[in-house]
Amino acid sequence: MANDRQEMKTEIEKSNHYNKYFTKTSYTIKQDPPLFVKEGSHRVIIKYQDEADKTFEYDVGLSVIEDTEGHLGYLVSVEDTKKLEEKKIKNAELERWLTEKQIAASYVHELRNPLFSIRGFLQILKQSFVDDDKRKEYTDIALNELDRMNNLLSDYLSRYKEHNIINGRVNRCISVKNIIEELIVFFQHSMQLKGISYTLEFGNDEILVSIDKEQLTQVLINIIQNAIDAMSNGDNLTIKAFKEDNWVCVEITDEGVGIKQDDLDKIFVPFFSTKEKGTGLGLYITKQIMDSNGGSINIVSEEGKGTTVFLKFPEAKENQ
Amino acid sequence: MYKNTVLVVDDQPLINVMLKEVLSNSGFNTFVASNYIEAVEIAKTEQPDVAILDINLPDIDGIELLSKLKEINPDIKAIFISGSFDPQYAQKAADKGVLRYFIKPFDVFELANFLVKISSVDSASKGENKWQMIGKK
Repeated sequence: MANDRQEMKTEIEKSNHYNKYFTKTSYTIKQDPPLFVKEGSHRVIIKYQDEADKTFEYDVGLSVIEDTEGHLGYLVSVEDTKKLEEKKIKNAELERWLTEKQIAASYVHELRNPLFSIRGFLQILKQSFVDDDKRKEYTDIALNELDRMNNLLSDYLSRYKEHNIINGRVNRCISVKNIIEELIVFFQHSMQLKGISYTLEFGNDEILVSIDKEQLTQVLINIIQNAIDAMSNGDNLTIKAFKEDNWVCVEITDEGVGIKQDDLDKIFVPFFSTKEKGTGLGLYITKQIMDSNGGSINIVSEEGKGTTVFLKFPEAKENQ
Repeated sequence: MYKNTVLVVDDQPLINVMLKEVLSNSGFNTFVASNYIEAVEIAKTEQPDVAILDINLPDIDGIELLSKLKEINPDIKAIFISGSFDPQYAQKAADKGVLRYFIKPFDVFELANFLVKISSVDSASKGENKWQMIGKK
């Protein structure tokens, strides 16, 4: 058996794995030396001789495999411990968010029960009033407010969804130009109805950002929808996308009513809205998404002239 | 023959009271239950044609309860109500023949109108007009 193991060690030394991970290196083994004649998992610290002071830690697993005829084989797995730690932290974060999301979802679920009985009783009540009765109007207001409350609950849940995606996302390259072009098709009809024109200004370069597609779409929908709401017949919407240093910039300019200076200060505050049926969460969520992706959002506006929203994202590299 | 007996199963007593009020006034013979045992009891004695089921009852889930009710009456029609929407669950429910999936808080008259549509009950003279009458008094 000792001979077999010696043979195996030689075999491993000749194998690609050995050359890839251990050639030109000196390694210290924390436990159970020598590694390659002992089964089990080991933590190996490798010091590269050609790179001063660089130390790498790997978890190494070795299993000896024997088939029915007694031929020996071996299975070696090598994993970077730093990456393992990162993965563990990421998993713990994701788990925490999933738990919180679950709690939030069950709260919302339970809140909808009393909302539903109130809604139903209000509808019954409304039926008992004649058309010109003021009380019929009041029950309508109460019903609308109740629906608004329910929308707030839905928005609250969707905020959890965003965070869930942030933690669970795989870094991907998304073409800003493609997303904007897709969205313009989506908004084309409502712009036509309002008599609004649009201009897209992109350079020739591919503009890539590393953000979840759903999140980028939500950010752009929130901003473009606000722009369209602010504009009227004959106004123009301009969307520019370009690279600046290591940033991707998107500028969305409308010729709408603009935002009052007082309101501009409160624009990212949750539940602040100037729209009659707004939840006041659109721009708040937008800012949250931008911040959590290492980006930024700034708004410049002049009352009566229009608004420009500046979005900045870290540029994604093709191989990211 | 009218198909006009409805069973409502929800663990929230006020929702049961409210739905019974709306559906009774829309011309349906309405029974309510707040759990599995009561639901099965009513299904046996009253032979409802339609069941309106909350999908998260304390002792049973909507799809399971529907299976139990179908053992008693294979032709029973079902509508699910819930405080949240789970697309996968909705798909399973649709596969089981559930006709509609209402998310609370929804328009109760939409539910009543849907029941009228699937039940051939003419509720116009009994239902909404009744409340109008009260209002005029």
